[in-house]
Amino acid sequence: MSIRMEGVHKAYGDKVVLRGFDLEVHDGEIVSIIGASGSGKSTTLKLVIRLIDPDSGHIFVGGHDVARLSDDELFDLRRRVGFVFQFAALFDSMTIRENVEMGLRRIPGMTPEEMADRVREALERVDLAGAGERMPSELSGGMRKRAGLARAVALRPGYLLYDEPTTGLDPITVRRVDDLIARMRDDLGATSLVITHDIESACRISDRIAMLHEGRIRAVGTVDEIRAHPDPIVRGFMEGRPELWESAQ
Amino acid sequence: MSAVGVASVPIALFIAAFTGIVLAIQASYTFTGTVPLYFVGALVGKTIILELGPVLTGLALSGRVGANIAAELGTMRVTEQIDALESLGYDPIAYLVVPRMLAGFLMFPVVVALAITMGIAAGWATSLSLLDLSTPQFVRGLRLFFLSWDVQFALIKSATFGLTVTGVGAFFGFTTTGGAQGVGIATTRAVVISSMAILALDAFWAATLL
Ligand SMILES: Nc1ncnc2c1ncn2[C@@H]1O[C@H](COP(=O)(O)OP(=O)(O)OP(=O)(O)O)[C@@H](O)[C@H]1O
Ligand SMILES: [Mg+2]
Repeated sequence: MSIRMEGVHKAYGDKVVLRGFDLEVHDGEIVSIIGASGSGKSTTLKLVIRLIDPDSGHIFVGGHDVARLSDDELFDLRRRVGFVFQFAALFDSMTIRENVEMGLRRIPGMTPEEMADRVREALERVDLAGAGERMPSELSGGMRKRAGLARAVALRPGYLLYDEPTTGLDPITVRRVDDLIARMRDDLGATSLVITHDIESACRISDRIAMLHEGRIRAVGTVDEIRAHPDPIVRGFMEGRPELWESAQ
Repeated sequence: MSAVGVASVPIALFIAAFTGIVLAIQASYTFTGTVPLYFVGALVGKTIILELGPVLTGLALSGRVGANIAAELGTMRVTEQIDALESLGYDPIAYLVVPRMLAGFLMFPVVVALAITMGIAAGWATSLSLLDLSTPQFVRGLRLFFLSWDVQFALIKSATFGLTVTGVGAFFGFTTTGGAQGVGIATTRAVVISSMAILALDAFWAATLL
């Protein structure tokens, strides 16, 4: 139940995004990835469930090399991984309830009653209990984000990949989402990879924090280790001090 | 199914009706004094069944159905809805593309059959009202060269047009990159390429099946 990425390279055309990316998330661990905008964080997350293929390197989920899975095995793996998209990626022709149901339909042996329970529970967890019959276009950005979160956690997956789950939410909701991420791990033992720009919330929920810089993991460690990291690139980012970055170039 | 089929019926009937009218008038204009006028029925029937019914309908539907599919799937692509579908364990080809192509395959022949009926009916009505033809004369012409194979040919051809239009639309939708502009490009390409494919396919069937 771990996620391991080894020597991953990825470029979009000429634009090299990852160049030797290594990271391991242990069973039941919450690891946050921080890094500048455009540094390749979303790309990393998509590689884990093979929404995109790496140019080289290996990605293991639960010990299986995702590049070697058959189509059926890959679909099966994806069903056990909850993915929260940066921009929610809700199905805009469906209601919020139907969006949450979409994932549940793929779970064998799920009865309609069970599905209704799961949907209700997931929407309650993100404070959208009353919004089930609304269309995504009728929701605010923050509500859509939470609906995307509900769609992923409703699966009760063994792995959860969150792409900026708290960006654009108000401070109270940020705390609720942080709690939700922690609770998913405590209740389900979910192995979690969280991308965030919110240093405070990263420090609150993470077992370890990894910083992505120029295509590689620049530093990885516990919250305290990263806070006290000597590397000016890491410190500059954690403390929001661009002058430290410039002096390190 | 209904988006591909039912919603396309009005435009297909509209085109077919005017095609029937024009064909009847032009046939009588051409034939007057040289060929017996009841040949109007033959020309209208043969042309609409073999060529204009399937092809004009196909072209109209490439603008309607093909563009619609390309825009819809293209938007789903750029808003990561296709990624989301995959992340939930769906095969997006099986879930999004196959049903649309199947609907095209089944519904195009139905729409074309309606269009052919409408086109011939319009030709007949024109013959009665604008030309000096009676119903028996028109029908006599219609039956003169009629082969049931022609109708089968038209319907087979239409089914392949249906697969082409939906398949090309799905392809360009799926491979959309960029934002709204990308969706626009994908939609335009889908219409242009599927229109060209229909014309090429039409020639291919004419060469192989007739
Ligand atoms: N499909 C794509 N085609 C071409 N370039 C892409 C594509 N997706 C991402 N990129 C580029 O790759 C780089 C990394 O993108 P990515 O989305 O992974 O960044 P990110 O770290 O998630 O940024 P942010 O914090 O702003 O979300 C960016 O420079 C982006 O322009
Ligand atoms: Mg991102």
